[in-house]
Amino acid sequence: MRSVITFLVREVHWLVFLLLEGVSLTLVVHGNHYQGSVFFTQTNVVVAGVQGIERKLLRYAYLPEANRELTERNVIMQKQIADLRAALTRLDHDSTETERMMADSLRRCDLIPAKVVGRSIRNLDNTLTIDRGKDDGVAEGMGVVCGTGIVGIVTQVTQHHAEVMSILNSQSNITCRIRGSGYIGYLHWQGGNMLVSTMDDVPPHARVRVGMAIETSNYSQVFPAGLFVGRVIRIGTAPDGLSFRLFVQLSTDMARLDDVMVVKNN
Amino acid sequence: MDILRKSIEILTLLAVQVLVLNHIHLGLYALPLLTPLIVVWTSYDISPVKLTVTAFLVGLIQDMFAGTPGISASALTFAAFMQRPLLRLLMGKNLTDNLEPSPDSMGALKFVFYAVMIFALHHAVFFFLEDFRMIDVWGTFLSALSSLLFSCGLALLVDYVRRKKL
Repeated sequence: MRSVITFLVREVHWLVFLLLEGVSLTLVVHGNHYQGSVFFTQTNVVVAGVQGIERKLLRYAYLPEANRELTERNVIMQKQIADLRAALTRLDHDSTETERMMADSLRRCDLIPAKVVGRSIRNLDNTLTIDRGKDDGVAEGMGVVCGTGIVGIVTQVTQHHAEVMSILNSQSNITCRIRGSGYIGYLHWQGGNMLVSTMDDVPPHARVRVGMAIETSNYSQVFPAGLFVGRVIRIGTAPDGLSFRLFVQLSTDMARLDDVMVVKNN
Repeated sequence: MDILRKSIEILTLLAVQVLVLNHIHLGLYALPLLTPLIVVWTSYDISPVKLTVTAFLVGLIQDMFAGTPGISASALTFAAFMQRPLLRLLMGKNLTDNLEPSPDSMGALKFVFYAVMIFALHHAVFFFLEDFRMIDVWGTFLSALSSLLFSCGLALLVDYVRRKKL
């Protein structure tokens, strides 16, 4: 024990050096935007790679059990499909309409299917990592959507992965419009509830009511017009008092997102 | 008195760096960095912990003015940490406990080599952290090399003036 203490006292300058370098490098990564972004992109590549391998291994390990469950569920679902299809057509006319409009909008675009391999949802500035990168044709500024609505915008791309600024990010501003009336506003997440975002700059004379659908507008450079974003659940006044602030129930649940599509061109 | 003189030297170098040299970019590439002189001038009897902490604090203040948190602090801390091994390597058996690095005590050639090495170590870390991704390796190398030449020339001039005054 004494020899350890003697050693530590004699070599204390090493500890001081390592400590101070640690503090400096932490400052470099957290205090400089460029260095921070490079660092997190590189670590994302490593983390995404490891998570990808982990997913593959786990999928393989659970394959026999998953197969048995799927067979059981298949039998049950076969019986349910016919009943549900009829019920869906009769009861959920609006939802069917939304899906049809989304399909129409996306039909005009090239889409790159991707899997979400990493995500953050609890921060103010949330991001996703997808398993498609430059080699697959993904570039910065491209929009990312899923079956239920918009997801975010690609901000950084490496050879095989891309980082997506989620719509649950305080830096994200997406031009949207109220379906039917055409009034434009900016979708901007304020933090808090991950299923509710706000739409600002909606003019006070706009005809809007709770339940109206919000969709991407044709002013957006990133997303094709007409993609479903969510529904108005509350109408408030913006802090400047000159416009409406709409509270929008988002159609996409980021916590359960698995498969997405990158919109290649608009 | 010695501490006072050293403190004035450090503060003067720091002031010249943040108020004048930080605003000079020669040919868009060369950025003169004079603060490693603090490490060059430190005598061998100063404890390495004291030198490393001083270098870190000087770097941190330089970073605060340049808006580059951590970069100068890391580079200067590294240069300070390497000072003693470098002196041991260069001086060998001639190294005395109270060696004050200068052309008189070390010999002109060895002193110039020692100063250039301290500046080179500092610049290598500084420009690596500034570029970080090493995409434009050639551009970073040019920038580091031209800055090193500029900084070393300026440092040797400042060292000459300092010795004349002392």
